[in-house]
Amino acid sequence: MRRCEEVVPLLGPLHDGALADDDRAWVEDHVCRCASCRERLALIAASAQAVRESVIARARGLDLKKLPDRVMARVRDERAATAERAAVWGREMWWAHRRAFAAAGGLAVAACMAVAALFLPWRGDDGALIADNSPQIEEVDFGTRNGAVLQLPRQTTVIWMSDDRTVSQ
Amino acid sequence: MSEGPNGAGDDRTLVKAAQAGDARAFRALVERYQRRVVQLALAMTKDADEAMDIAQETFVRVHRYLPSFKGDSSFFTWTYRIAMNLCLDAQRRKGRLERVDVEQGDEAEIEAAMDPPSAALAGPQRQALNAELRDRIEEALASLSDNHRAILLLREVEGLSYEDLAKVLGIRKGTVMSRLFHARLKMQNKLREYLGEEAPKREEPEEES
Repeated sequence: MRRCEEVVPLLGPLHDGALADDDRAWVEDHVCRCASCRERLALIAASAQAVRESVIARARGLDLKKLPDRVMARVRDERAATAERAAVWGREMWWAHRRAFAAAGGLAVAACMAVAALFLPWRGDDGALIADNSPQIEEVDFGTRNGAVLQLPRQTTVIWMSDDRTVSQ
Repeated sequence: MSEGPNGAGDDRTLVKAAQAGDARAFRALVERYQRRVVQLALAMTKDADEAMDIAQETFVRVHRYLPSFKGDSSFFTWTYRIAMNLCLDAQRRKGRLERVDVEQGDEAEIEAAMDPPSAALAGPQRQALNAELRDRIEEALASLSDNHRAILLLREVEGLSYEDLAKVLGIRKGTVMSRLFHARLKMQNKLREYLGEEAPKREEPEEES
């Protein structure tokens, strides 16, 4: 039979059901034969029960009805604060870097237009591809004035009129 | 000890719903565990208002970190860990956290473990915990270091397994066994003092070899 000094540290784990099977067998065997260790084990159980009863009794008097409401109110406040922080962060980012955002946006638009101008084929009214996309300038006699017409693709026309009223003969 | 009125399985359902944004599910979790969290905080701090504040803050943090809860440990173990950390932080702010080597007891303490048990605690007269003894137990608990009180409460009151104690307290299982052993010894010795018992003379067990 082992000595009590060896058994005493294992009485707590025995009480708590935390001993491995091998250890439990010889510790239980010792406890069955040793009245002092039986009393020590009983003391652990009694002390645990006394602590449990004492703590539970002390907390029993507390009114917890309002606690869930208080928690849920805090949770709602925290959610609102998080959303507000995100909004403020977004606004501050915009104001702090708005020029950079505008420049980046402008560059993106310009890049898209350049890609479109380079790679999209122009088509005429009849849907046929216009072979020559280059603008065409044509001098026009408007009778009382001279003018010029700049013909751009997609039916875009720019007309200049001269200030000179003299019609060239 | 059970994990709340409807067990861990139901906890998982509620936790998943709460993670998906269901406020009613989260409230159900609060209602399920509030008493045990308050109980723990009250025993740690000895102050009802502070215990309520800690419980409230515990559940707010549970909600805040719920998206990152993966279910590696049970929900109540995870909740207790948050609650216990808040209790220890509160004690630290008050400068009451004792820095003691809790894994080593002095020789007198170990010797006392070999003393015969207190009749007032283990005897039949203790069957019903009377008010005076309850007061003595509260005093004895309050006199323990925070680390010893924490492990004693989590084991004796909440019934946590050694594995869960290790998770909640952030220590190894071997440390759990050692710390719990010394916490129980100190508690028993304090109770002996409060009950006015002389430390009994060493008595050999009847069949000791």
